[in-house]
Order: sequence, then C-alpha cells, then structure tokens
Amino acid sequence: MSKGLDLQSLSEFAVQEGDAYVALALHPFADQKIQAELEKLVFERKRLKLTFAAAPYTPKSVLTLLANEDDEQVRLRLTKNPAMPPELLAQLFKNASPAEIKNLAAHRRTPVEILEAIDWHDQVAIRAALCSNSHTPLGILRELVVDSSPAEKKGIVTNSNADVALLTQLWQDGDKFVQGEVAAHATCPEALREEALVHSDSLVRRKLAANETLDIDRLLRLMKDEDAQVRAAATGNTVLEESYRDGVEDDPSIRVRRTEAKREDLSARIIDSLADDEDHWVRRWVARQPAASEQVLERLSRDDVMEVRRAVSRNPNCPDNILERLAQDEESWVRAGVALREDLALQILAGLEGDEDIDVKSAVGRNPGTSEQVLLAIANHENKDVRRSVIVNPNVPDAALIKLQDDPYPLNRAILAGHPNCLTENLWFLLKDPEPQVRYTAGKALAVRCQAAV
Amino acid sequence: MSDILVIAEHRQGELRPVSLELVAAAKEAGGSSVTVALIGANAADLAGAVSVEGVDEIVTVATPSANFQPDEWKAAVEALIEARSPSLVLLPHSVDSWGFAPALGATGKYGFTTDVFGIANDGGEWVVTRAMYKEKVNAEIDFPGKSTVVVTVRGGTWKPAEGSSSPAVSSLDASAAANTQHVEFIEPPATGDVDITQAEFMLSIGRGIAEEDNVEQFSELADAVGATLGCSRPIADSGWLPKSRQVGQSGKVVAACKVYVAMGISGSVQHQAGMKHVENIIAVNTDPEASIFSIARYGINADIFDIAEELITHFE
Amino acid sequence: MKILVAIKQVASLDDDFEIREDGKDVDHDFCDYEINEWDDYSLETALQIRENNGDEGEIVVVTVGPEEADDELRKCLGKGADRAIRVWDDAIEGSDQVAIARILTKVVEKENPDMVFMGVQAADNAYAQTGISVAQQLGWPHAAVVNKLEYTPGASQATAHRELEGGLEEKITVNCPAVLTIQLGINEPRYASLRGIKQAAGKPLDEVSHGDLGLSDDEVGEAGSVSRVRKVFVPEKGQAEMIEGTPAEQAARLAEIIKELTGA
Repeated sequence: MSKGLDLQSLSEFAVQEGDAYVALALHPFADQKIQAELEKLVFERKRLKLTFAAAPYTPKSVLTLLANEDDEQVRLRLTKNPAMPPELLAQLFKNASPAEIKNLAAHRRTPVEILEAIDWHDQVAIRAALCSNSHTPLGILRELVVDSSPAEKKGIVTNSNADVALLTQLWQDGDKFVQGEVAAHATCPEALREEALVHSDSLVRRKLAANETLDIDRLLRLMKDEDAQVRAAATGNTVLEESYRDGVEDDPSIRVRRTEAKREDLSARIIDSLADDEDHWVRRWVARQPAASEQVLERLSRDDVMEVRRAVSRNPNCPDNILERLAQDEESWVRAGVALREDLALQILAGLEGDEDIDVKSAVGRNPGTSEQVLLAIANHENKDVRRSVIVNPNVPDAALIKLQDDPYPLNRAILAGHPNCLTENLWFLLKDPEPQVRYTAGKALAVRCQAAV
Repeated sequence: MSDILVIAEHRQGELRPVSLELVAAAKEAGGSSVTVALIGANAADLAGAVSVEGVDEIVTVATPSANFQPDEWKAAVEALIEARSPSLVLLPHSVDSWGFAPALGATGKYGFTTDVFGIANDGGEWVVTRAMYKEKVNAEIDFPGKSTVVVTVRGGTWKPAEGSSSPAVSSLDASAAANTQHVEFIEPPATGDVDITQAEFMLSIGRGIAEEDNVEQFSELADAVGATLGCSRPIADSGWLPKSRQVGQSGKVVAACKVYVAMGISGSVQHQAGMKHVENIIAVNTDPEASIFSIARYGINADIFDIAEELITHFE
Repeated sequence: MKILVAIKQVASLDDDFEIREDGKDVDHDFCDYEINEWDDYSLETALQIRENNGDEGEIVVVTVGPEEADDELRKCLGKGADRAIRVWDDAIEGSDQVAIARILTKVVEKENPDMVFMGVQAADNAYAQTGISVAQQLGWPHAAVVNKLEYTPGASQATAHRELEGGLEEKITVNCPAVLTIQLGINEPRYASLRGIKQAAGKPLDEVSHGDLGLSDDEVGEAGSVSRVRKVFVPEKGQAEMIEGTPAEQAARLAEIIKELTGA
C-alpha cells in the first residue's frame, strides 16, 4: 500500500478513481495540466459544485474558479462562505444581486472599500447586515444611524468603530440596552459615564462596572452598589487591584464571591480565605488557582464535593502527593482529571493504566507518558470514543494508528486523517475511505506532505 | 359544507387533550356538523369530557379492549365512516394513530395523509397542508376522486375547543380480531440529574468555550438556570467533561429533553443525531451560518460568553 | 429464518434551494442524500436477532427508489444484510405512501419473511405511514413505535414495548409474522467495517420494476395513490426565530423563553 510521495501519482489516483473530493483537496497543489483534469471531476456535477461553493474547506484555488461561474446559486453560496478571501468577495460584488449584496454586507471578510460602496438606501436587509458587521466604518455608521430602527441601533452600538459623537447620539434616544452598551463601550464619553454611574437601571450600572477603561473612583463607588450583580461586575474588572477590593471575600452575595474567586491575580491571603467558603462554586474556582498553596490544595483535595476535588486534580501546581491520593479517589471523574495531566509522574500514571472507567481510559489514552502496550490496548478498546483518544497522543505507536485506519466508526477515521500523527501509510489507505470527508482530508494531508518533501 | 368526524384519543382512562384540538380544527374547517367518536370498552365514560362547544354528536364504539388496540380501532373507524359518510375524518398525529391510521389509508377507500397543520376546502375538495424536507418546504395535498378524506393532525396547531354543549349520544358496533394484546403500561423512570437521556432541560456547550477553565462558568450557569449540563464531542474528547455528558452519535441521545440550549455548538451531524428531535432548541453561536440554526426554534447570533454573563443575572 | 428490512434514502435540503418548474417538488440539485436514521435501528434489530439465533437466517433489505439509493443498500449489505432489492422505474415517480406500500407488499409476498421491520418514519417527510400500510395490505399483525423487542425466530408471538408520548411505554404481545415499525434508541446501531463494505460489493443487489412484481401501471404512481402533492412552497416563517438586540437584551429574552418553557 505504501507509495512514494509525489503529486503526480496522487493526482493520477484521483483521476483514476474519479473522486471529486480527493481532486478538490489536490487542486491547489497541482500544476496547470493536472489541475485541468482535477477540475473536470470537481465541476462534473451541479450538486457538488453547490456543495463546494458553500463548504468552508474548499481551497482558495477552487473558490476562485467558482467565483467566475455565472450561476446565481453558486454565487449565493460563495458570498456566505466564511473561507472566501476578501479579493474574491470584492470580485463578486461587481454583478451582485440584492441577496448576494446582503451576504457581502454581513460577511466578516468583505473589504471596507466594498462595505463603503454598498448601496443600502431603502434596503432593510442590507442595512441590518451593515449595522451588525463589526468592520463597517464610522462614516457609514454615522449615515446609517440617522434613520435607524431600534434593532439597527443595537447593532451599531456594539461596533468598536463608534466614536463619542455617535455613542452620545445613541444614548440620547436609546433604551436601557443601548445605554448599557454605550456604558460598556471603550469610547464611552465622560459625561455618559457619569450618567451611567447613577442610572436608575442596574443593567446600565452593571455594564459600566464591567468597562475596563473605567477609572478607579467610579469603580469603587460601584463596588458599594446595592445591587449584587453590579458589585460582581466591578469585582471582576481587571482594573481594580486587590487593595481596592477590600472585604469582597465576605460579601453576602455568592455572585460577588464567585467572581472574586475567578480572578487570576489573587493573593495567597484571599485564596486562603475563599478556600473555606460555604459555596462550593467558590471553592471550585479557588482549587484551580495556580497560586493556591499546598495547604489550601491539601484541604480542598479532601472536600466533600467531588467537583472541588476534580478542580484540584486540574490545578497546574498540584503536588504529587496530593495527585497520588486523588488517583485513588472513589469518583472516576477525579481520577480522570489526574490521568489527563501531561506532567503526571509515571508511577501515578502506571497506577491508572488498569482503570476501566471510560473517562479515565480516554485520559490515559491521550497521556504522552502512557506505555506503548497500553496505548495499543486502548486502540483496540470496545468503546469507539475511547479508541479515538490515542490518535492525539504524541507517542502513539504506529501499530495503533494502523489499527485505527480500519475503525468502523467513521469519525475516528476522519480524526485520524486530520491529525499530524497520521502516518503517510494511513493516508494512502484512507484515500479509499467510504466517507468523502475522510478522503478529502487524507488527500489534502498527502499533498501537503508531498510539497514539504520537495 | 359537510360532516366532519373527529376520533378522540384517550389513555389510562383519560381523554388526551389533543382530542379537543381536533374539535377546534373541525370547527375552523367549516364542517356542517362535528361528530366525535369515542372508541374503547369504557370510552363512553368520556362523553362529558368531549362535550365542548361545537360538538353536535357523540358516537361511542364499545370495543373489547379498554386500551388502544389497532385492529379494533381501525374496524371502528371504518364502521363509523360507513355509518356517517363524513367528508373529513380527523385523528391526532400521535403514537396511537401511527399504529392504525395508515391502515385506513392503505385500504384505498379514502384519501389519506398525515401530520397536517392546515385544512382548507377548495370548491368542495379538501386541501391540506403538511411539511416536507425536514420542515423546509410546505406542501398542499389533495385527494382526487375521494369522497372521504382521513388525515392525522399535528398537535399544538389548534387551540383546544372549550365551553360546553349537549350533543346527542349514540352508539355503534364494530368488531375485529385483535392481533396484538395489551400487557401493561410502564411509567418512565424517575428523572435523575446526571443521566442526560432523562433530562428535560439541557444546556450544552461546544468547541466555542475554547478552554477547560471556561467549562466551570457554563457549569455554574447550567446549575443556576436549572439545566443539566451537556456537551458536544470535542469537549468530552478533550477530557473537559465526562463522556456521560456527551450528546450525539458518539455519546447519548437526549430522549426526554424538551428544552435544549446549545452554546457554541456548530451542530455537526454527529451532534444533531443526539438532539435534533428536541422540540425547543435554542442555539447561541457567533457564526450566523452555523448549521445548528437550521434545526433551532430560537437562534441568538452572539458571543456565548456575553450571553452567559448576562443570562445568569436573570436566575438568582 | 428470514427478516425483511425496508429502508429509505432520505433527502436533506440546502438552506438556499429552488422549487422545480412544475411546482410539485424541490429541485433535487439542492438535496443531499443519506439513509433514514430510523432504518439503521431496524436493520440493527434484525442483525441482533440473527446473532442471537446462532447466526442462522437471512436478512433482506429492500427500498423503493432510484439508482442513487444503491449507496444505502450497499451500506446495509456492508453491515451484514445478505441481499438487497431495489424497486424502481419511471412509473413509480409520484407514488404516495400507499402506492409505495403496495410495491413493498408485493416484495414481502414474494420473499415470505418471518418478520418485516421498517423505521417509524422517514427523517425528511415524516409521514409515519408506510410500515403500517404494508401490514394492512398484507393483512399481517402490526405494531408501531417499537423501542424494545423480544422475539425468537419461529415463535408465534413476540413481546414489544411501544414508546408512547411523555416517556410512557406500553408492553404488548404481537402475533407473528408481523410488521413492526422500529423507534430510534431501541439499540445501538453498528457501523459497517471496511472489510464488510468491501464484501458488500459481492453481495446480490437486484433491481426490479413494478411490472416484475406483477403490479399494473395504475397501481403505482399518482394513479395508485390516495393523495397527491398539488404544489410545494416555502413557509413564510423561516427555521429559527432569531432573537435580536444587544447581548443583554438577547439574554433577557432567552431567560424569559427558558422560564416559560421550563415553568421555572
């Protein structure tokens, strides 16, 4: 089965098999003469042409050819395809129908010059698409806002291109949701920050409290807000260092304490205090804190709530002696957390290799420290989801990959074909897979390897 | 206009509410009279329950079996059609109807189709509407040359008829050899919170959550809104949630689920295999072209973290 | 022992599609095809019965459909079915479920199996009709929406669970031979091994016409049907109702929907 790596024999294979999916994969890599052969296959059937025009995996070389097709349905699909490069979207704009223009107005990759050239007057769908496109420039937003509907205002207000004047205008006749977005906007003008600070609706104050360009003084006022959600938003604001968050760990609201426990810059003192919180969600986050001391982890590793112990097993700085104990936990999900650690001491991992739980088994299958013999056994496991775990293991033995290329579950073969661990021998085998997506993926991987070999 | 016959459905001694939806459908379709049939050994006991506004007559057919039995029910409806010559017969599009109504259609005597949600009369001919191609297309169906048309009607389409009436009650005989025998009803097992196949309300997360630590945020959200947390394959494959939480072809079918909130799940075929049957799918995704939207009842095109942060504030 | 499993190749339609010129169907260029999901379960039911019968017995798959449906039949053969039959000719176009059932009935009469399994419904048009129609035309016992089955080949009765609304189940006995419509979840369908797929290429796949089955032209197509598609059209309301607004507003509406639907 093993063959030499060259594009010529690969292309011959695609043509000989009449396989449009392999042809699609090879097209960008082939020389002009072979390309013509491959194109015959790719464009043979209308159905496939439509499928490829819509597919995010279609290579640019084929998208380029499709963009030249005079077919409304092909163009409609291309203007929605997220993989379309900006220059091809610009090309499609030239003869675009209203439906295609709407798609171009909404597309994240449409060049700004095209967005500027789109005529949106009296076109409800096109207007809406432009209002919601984060790349629509300020000049267009200013024009759009003039007669904008409430729904359109909501698209405009979240656009980072909006400036002070535009935000002020939106605030003036906007509802609480628009005003909330203005308060959350990095460019929110000073005067509106002041208004938002004392806004009667807590939503607006909460959005302001989450604004990471807000000053300390206003944040400190929001920390004292009567509404716990507002205090929680301020607590989570990265601007506010720990010295300003005095007493947060004793806030009566779990929402505030949970937010505090999630912060990435907690001191040992706060971590220690939160580790005894009555709310297990707080303890779960604390258990994940890299800065948690060994004493804290020790305490939390004996927590009654399984998920807290699981969180300890996932802490990057969890010491071996705790992991050793957690590897014996009565709950499989805790043991699986230990087995998933790539840094796990080999003797702890060895103790988990015989664990029959499928989550533990899969974690062992992914773990680079697992022995070859065990990986081979996992590749032969009766559970199709467990088998697949070894594919992503950097130390997977060839024999396991050979075994998996013939896996009855198509998804396992698809994942194998798309993974860097996949052997060239696997790829040749998978070129004949019954699933088109597997053949495509294998064809592309082989072509990439051919090119790298040259 | 003409007579319409409604076949009421009951189970374990109770009228199934969909029966009254059929009465409403019959009224709206413009039948000159609406007859409700009650089939079963003790079905006559339900006469009061179907005496709602718009019902002109009740006919009871006492069959040997108290519970639904397809051969007896088919014979009963045939006898009813024979006796009353209705131009339209309405049945619920329900599991019991699936068990016998097609047999009526297959006799070739009547016009027949299923899962109807629109009924019109075009110059004396019944024309009904049903969906095709996974609900992407509607079709108008007619029944050339058929004087009686039998259709099953989609539940939840008409509001149940209310009020009361004093219809005349008569009875009719029909018999058939029963080829199946009822043994017992088996109640569904009590809902456990980790068995996702039994969960009625699920919040599922996919690739969109990006990092392991973010799982906790959505786990907390699911807890706050009262949902069971599920996930798509990439999350379980990464070891971030147990495989028992995975919805899909690899994974589990959320058989009992009524509300499914999919966050950051694009909706691969594998995932859909486990949840596309759910009546209320709500999808949140940043990609407006994500295929999950094509099977959702509600869609939100937004960042899942923005929505998650806001959603939790409504569940204190 | 012989079990006949009837399958259907179902269509899934692109979001952007066009309706055929006569207005009675969509343009099939916009369709992808796959096996009906329910059929995986009914085939698996048959395969498991044979396995529990010491691997004794024949499994025949049949479909009514054009040449493309061979793909699905081959997959069934790849999983372990022994033979496949595909019935098609131009006259069959336009058949409703009753006419399709008439064709399948003729196949069953020729094959004379101990059991017939079909999916509860097809994923595309969801008539939930064909299986019980076949049973009626055969005059066979039948049960719909079976999610558990105890059947020993040759027995005069089988025990089945029917999945009713709201998770309730009904346990019944059904006289055999019977036509059963099989529900999703009754088992875990297998995937065809690649070796199985290769072997399938050598298994018989017979193509027959309605005439071969002894049916006249007016027993199939529109003439043999009790219903007719007058026209198809795109429903006014699209698939998902998109919730618009700022994220806070969308989340507020989502919270309302959740509370309403879950009664929280």
